[in-house]
Amino acid sequence: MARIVLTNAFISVGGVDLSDLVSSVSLSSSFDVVETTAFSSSASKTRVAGLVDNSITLEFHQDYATGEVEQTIYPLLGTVAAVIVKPNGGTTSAFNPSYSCNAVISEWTPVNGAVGELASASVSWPVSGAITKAVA
Amino acid sequence: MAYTVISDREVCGKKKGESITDKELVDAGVSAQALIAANHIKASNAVSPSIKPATEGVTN
Repeated sequence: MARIVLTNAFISVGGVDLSDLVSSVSLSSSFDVVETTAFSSSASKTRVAGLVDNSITLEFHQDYATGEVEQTIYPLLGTVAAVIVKPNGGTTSAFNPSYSCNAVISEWTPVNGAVGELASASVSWPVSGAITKAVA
Repeated sequence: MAYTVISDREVCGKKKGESITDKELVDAGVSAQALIAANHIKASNAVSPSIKPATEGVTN
């Protein structure tokens, strides 16, 4: 299996393809670790996985034009929106899986940047529920 | 209810000028209101209200 360099990742928020205005994407899952240690001869702690906490972190290039980033995200603030992420914009397959989730659009920075810098918006949105992986 | 994509961006895999139904939006878990507010889609059967001139006082 070949290594992959992300050059053409697909990111859709609220049904809108915003891939060409996203410079960084991270979809992560972290399970609570619940200890189950009891008296035993092993003298080792035992654990099981508990609840999973999923989140998505994105870095947007800001754009206020019609139908672009700001106009797309702003109406979604405070709502739960469908987010789809793929490593590549091509057809979904086992080698280009699609990850779907419902993210809580909990934060937004409509204006962010310093003098001379590209206006951007970094967000980290918690996911409500599971992340669904599709390979076809 | 059907909508037309008016954005240059793909909406649920549909390109500008293509039609998308309420069911497709619901199946994708997407808010039609948010897409309308963001100028991505518009209702296909939206009709501009027409105002007829008042006829009061006119006799035939």
